[in-house]
Amino acid sequence: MKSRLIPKKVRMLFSLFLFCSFYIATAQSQKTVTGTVLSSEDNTPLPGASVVEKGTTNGTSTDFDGKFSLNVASDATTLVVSFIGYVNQEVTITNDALTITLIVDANALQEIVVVGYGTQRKSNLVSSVTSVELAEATAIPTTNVAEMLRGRAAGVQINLDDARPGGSSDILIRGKVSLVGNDPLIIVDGVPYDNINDVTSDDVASIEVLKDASATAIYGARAANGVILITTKRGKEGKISVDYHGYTTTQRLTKNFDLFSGTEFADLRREANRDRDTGEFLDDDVIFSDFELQAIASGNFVNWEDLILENATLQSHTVSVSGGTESTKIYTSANYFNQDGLIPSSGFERGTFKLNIDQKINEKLSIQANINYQTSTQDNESNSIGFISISPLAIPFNEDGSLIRKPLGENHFQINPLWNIRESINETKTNLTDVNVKGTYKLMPNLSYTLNAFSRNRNAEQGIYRTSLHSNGDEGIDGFATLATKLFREYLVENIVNYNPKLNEANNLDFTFVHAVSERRTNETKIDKSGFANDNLGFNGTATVLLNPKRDIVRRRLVSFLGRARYSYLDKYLFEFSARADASSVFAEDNKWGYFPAGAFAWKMHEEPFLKDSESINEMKFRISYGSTGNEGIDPQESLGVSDDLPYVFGGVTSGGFAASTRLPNPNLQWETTTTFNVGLDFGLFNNLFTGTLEYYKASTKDFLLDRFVPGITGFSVTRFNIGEVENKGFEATLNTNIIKKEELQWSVGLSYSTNDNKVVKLTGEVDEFGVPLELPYTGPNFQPLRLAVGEPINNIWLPQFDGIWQEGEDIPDPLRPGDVRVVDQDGDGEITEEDNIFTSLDPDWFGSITTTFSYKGFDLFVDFYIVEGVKKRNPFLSNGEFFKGSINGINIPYYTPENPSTVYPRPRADTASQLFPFSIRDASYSRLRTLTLGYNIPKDFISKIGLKNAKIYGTATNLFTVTDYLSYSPENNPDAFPDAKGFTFGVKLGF
Amino acid sequence: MKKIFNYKKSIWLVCTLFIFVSCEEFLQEELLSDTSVDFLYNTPEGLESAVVGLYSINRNLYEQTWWNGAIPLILQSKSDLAFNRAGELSLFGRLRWGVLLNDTGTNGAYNWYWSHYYKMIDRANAIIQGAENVQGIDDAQKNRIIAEAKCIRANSYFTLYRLYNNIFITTEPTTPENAFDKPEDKSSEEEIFTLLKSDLDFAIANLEMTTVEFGRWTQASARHLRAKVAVWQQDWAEAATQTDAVINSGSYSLEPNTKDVFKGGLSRSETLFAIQYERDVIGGGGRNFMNWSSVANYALSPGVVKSLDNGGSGAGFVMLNSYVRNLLKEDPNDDRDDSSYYISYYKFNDPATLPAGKQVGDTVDLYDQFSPDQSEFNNYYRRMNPGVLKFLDEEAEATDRNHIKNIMIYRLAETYLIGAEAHMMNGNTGTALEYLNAVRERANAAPKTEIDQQLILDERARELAFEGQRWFTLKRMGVLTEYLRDHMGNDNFNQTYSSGDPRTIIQEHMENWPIPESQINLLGPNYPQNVGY
Repeated sequence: MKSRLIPKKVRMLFSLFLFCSFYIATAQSQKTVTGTVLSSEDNTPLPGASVVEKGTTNGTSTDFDGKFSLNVASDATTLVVSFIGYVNQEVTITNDALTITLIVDANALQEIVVVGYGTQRKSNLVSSVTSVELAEATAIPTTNVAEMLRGRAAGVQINLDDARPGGSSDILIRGKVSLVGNDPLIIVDGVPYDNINDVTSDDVASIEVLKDASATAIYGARAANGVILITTKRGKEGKISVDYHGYTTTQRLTKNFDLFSGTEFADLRREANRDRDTGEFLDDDVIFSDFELQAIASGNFVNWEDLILENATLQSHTVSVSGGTESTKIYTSANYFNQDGLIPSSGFERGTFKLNIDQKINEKLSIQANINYQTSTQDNESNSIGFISISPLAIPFNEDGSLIRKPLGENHFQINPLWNIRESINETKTNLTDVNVKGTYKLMPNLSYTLNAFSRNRNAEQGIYRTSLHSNGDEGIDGFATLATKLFREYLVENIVNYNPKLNEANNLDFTFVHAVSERRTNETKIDKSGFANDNLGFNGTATVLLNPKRDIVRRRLVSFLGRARYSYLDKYLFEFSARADASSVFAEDNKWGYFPAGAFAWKMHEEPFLKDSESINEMKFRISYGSTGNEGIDPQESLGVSDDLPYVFGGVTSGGFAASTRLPNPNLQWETTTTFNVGLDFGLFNNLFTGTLEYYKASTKDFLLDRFVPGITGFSVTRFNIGEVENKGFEATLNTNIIKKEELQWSVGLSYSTNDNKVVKLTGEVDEFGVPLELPYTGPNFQPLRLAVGEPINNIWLPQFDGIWQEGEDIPDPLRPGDVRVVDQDGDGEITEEDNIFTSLDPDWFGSITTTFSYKGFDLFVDFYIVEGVKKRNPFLSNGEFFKGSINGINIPYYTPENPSTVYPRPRADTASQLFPFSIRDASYSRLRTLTLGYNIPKDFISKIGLKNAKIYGTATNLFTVTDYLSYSPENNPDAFPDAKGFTFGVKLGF
Repeated sequence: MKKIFNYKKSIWLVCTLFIFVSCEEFLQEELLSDTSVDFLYNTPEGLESAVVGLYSINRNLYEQTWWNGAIPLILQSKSDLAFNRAGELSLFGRLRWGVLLNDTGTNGAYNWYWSHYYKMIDRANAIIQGAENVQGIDDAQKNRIIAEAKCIRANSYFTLYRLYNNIFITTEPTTPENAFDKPEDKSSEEEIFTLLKSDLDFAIANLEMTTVEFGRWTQASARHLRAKVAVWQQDWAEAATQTDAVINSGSYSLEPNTKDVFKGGLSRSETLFAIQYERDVIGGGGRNFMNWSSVANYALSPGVVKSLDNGGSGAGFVMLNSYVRNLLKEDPNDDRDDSSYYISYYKFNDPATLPAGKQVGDTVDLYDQFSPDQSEFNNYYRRMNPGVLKFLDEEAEATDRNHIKNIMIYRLAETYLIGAEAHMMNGNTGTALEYLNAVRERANAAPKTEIDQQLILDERARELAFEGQRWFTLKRMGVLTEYLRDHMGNDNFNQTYSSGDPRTIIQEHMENWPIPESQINLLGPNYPQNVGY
């Protein structure tokens, strides 16, 4: 990637140097200096680096092995060695061959970055593009690539979705612009990926995040949520190099709360059943079963969390081979990854193979082929584990150590989770095959045509089996299995034309035209089986009952045309325009097409005469852009009338039945469009001691795709509408300081800070009798009733405001008593109704990261803090009425008692307490030491003896500590989710 | 490789692809694995399966297992015969839920009921309109389809009217165009009853008295419902005509023995309409917790383990209260509470844990309902209170709360009792007593020699308790609030509710359910809420 820029410059320099050398050679007496230039990054030779005798124009460039030989004046003492993307170095001439290691310039302004359908010099970017620092990103041991982006780019918010092995996280770029999907578009080597985790971190060469419309508009459809561009490694010309990277991680539970112990739990139950007026306790034999009474008497209590969760290990091994000739370049790698989960029987195992080939057929035609093959097995633990809630008054084991099925006594429905874990299999085997071929033909030196063809096949087969002893498979069911297959097929064909007319030195112009067709299709088949003769074959066994057969096919298609023009004048004033037309099959008949134009301008102030020679200002670039992108994130078929399958039995005989589903079709559905305005400033100050970016944006989403409640009297529940407008605006800052930048000692600190303010600007336009815009109820995930209101964020909770706990002696409205939750009676009418609900934003006020990198000789240290501030979340464990009744266990909180009246936590009570939902909205802000890595590069002369080119060992601690008030295993997940872990990793990187 | 060849090929490729994708067809959206609504309501085959879909939607009510399966039993909990001990379900009968515009019960359950019945109505409207316009269907098939849809529509509107009072009726199916036409006012009682009567009269004229497909609406069930509509309007003559027609049809008769009425799949001569289930069969429906909710948790007592003889798995949320138990005890020979409809006593069956002095087979009598000690009477209610066996799935494991069994909705015993009331009101006491005593004698109870409204209500309580009709019957007679105030729950337990004794909470306006706030907000701004909310 970096080398692409070189030829032109090198050619120029080279001819100049040749001429100079010749001239000088004739004039003075000479000596010859030889040496090798290496990259500090991986100690590989740097071909094409420039080596110049200081104070002269005499110089040369290194060959493919990084070697050079230069004739210099006999009195010359110093050489200046430079290479794009590296810090210049001055070297004293000696009589021996020199070995010069160039240090990578962290703020390489000349860096090439990948943008949509092409590359761009970083200094010439006109739009908002953030390059992710790769070494920092890949420091965490996971297959969850989204987690690698956390804190690495301003404006990119990562929310942990599923902490289980093989799990995923949600990526949110610059706030929620939509309710129908906020996932950014993932482009890997020029083709879209439906899952970012299908990339192996060891294969990644660079990651760029495109944030504003001028950067993303080229991707039009699906780009409204931003674009993440990932480029994988490719072979380089030169010797074949072989690399190995292996690591192993121990994962441990991270938590900030306790469960009630047996005695505490018994006290909770007693308190709950206490008479609320007289304070009298009920007899233990009324509120506890005989079984529980025995447990209390004997003191045999169980901490289910300790019993179930175990430390787990993870390992990863990658071998990659890279090399090539002038016409053929190959990169290939194989990775094996295996992670166990904290809950036994869960885990993820994956093997991947990657092959990237670049083949030059002749001067005009070249072909690139990228092949990606993966096979993985995801094991999920049994359902119904719920260990937090299970009463500690339990006996999980027989005296001989065998499991007891009903640990809370035969009369209690609770099944021992360890029992269910033992009696359950839930595995998903997935095979993924990607083939991508790009052929580029140079029609003229400045006109090329590329055909980009991509096909993806992902076949997933899931088998679930609950044995005849499992609580889902017992009691006459005789084993219960689910078999499911999911075939995902995608193809993409793109015709790309690049035209780069040569104007003159001052004016640069290039054009890109693309035409693209793609289809994504999922075929799903599923069936349940029960009545197994025995459990031997698991879900592969023969069953006597087949139920719930399901066949589901979902298809979406897209056709696009786009064009882009980039123009620069004097390399100071940069302009970019793009336009894209997309047609998506998911929209209504007459509304398939959407049009997305964008424009941007940048001014490189530091190229102006008044700043050109400034010592303090090295870079100062002002950018402004405006453009729109589309969102087609709705499910197919929403503009069509679809029926639900509703079979029935008459006298035991099945009849096929159907009825229109409760989603009312909307035959007028159209594109949701987000228009973004962005201004940015890139700067480099004091010899690049400080570099950074400041950015402000305002994005407005129109024709908002929204699920809207339909009156129940219609017989439908929701319909999708294009309605209203939502606005996101925010500010982002990134600052890097290179405090020390020497060959042996480097220290840098990076800060990133992002805010986003999300609010609804317009809804249906309907107003109530006072002219106030009507609020709009809609359905969230799992049919959760939610509400939108003008001026409020999308991501909200609409509930009364928690106002502490009613205390003795206060004027408490009936039927509440001291110890009950108090909420604010907003309208003061003495009753708590919907009128008293307020909107609470669930978005953070800001989030950011602080990182520091310190390297000294062979050692390097990386520390990464991640901070999320001002975020609220509802903790369902605090709103469970059963918990306050003392019927189930939960988070140990100092609840209200008449003796110890809490002002924060309510009193347990035998019937369902009121207003627990407002009480359970909690501050989930946190700061976390996400990564701490210490690495050591073993000295060259030591390892070269054993045939190694480079060797590094490192240790990493992940999620080492977290500061938060939110009671859970992770502040981003509720306690019922798969628990997040902290990890301790040891790893080795070897180069042969 | 010749240069010109590549050049040509590329151009050719570009052009082909451009042409290929220009096709509108490529972007055309189509259903690949779902049945389209067009097919459903515009073809004879589609309409047949759309009618089946209606039965399936109707069954959906009983398969709701959230809130510990409270949804299908709400009317039972709210009746004057229920003892509401625990669980979400009990909160309805205790008047803690479902009494305000937006409390949890209203938002959850009442909203669900509202949407559920209107959904059935809209799909029935679509079927009726579709069948009237469809080509290539013979009249008999067409009229049967329309008749079944009209039965379901009438039953749904009648249920909605009796629950919510201020309802809006339409016979137009919903379309994307009319979905947001918000009604400004409720429909009048006259409009509602005109539609109910015409729908049912059409069904009676076009359905056979019996069906080979057990579970479908028949002329008999349509007439039974027609009689219920008639008595609501105090049209005693019509009610008498309809009940006589069913009773004298020769196709239906009372089961000789009360023990058999709810046995097995209910496919017997007394059943007029039942919700259909079949274990492990596609379309066989899901489990319910109705039995589990209404049988005591007797196995908590020493010496007892769960058994089908004791009523299977029970949590004892809502069971029989003292009022109905005393009614059942009125005639000592009445066998309806002798483990046929109701279980009065649970039996010791676990030799390993028997308390001292007890034998297997003895009646469990460890706790005292009338003890002044709350702990003691709590134990009685939880472990010993008489329960209901009308939902018991004899094929379920004794420990399994998931029951899958046909659910009785309308049966001939009720037809007899409606007939008795209608004839009594018509002054035809002889037939009235004959019908009343047919039900009594079948239960081994002594025949009555006189009849009045109280006696009819008492008999209905004994015979039909927990079948979901009681609350409607009291409302129809205008005595709902009075009866609830006098009889609901059990005295000593009512006083332990921290939310207050429901007999003092009950108010006149609660005879109508509130229209949930989330629903009324979606209607026109002037749409009337029920008085009192």
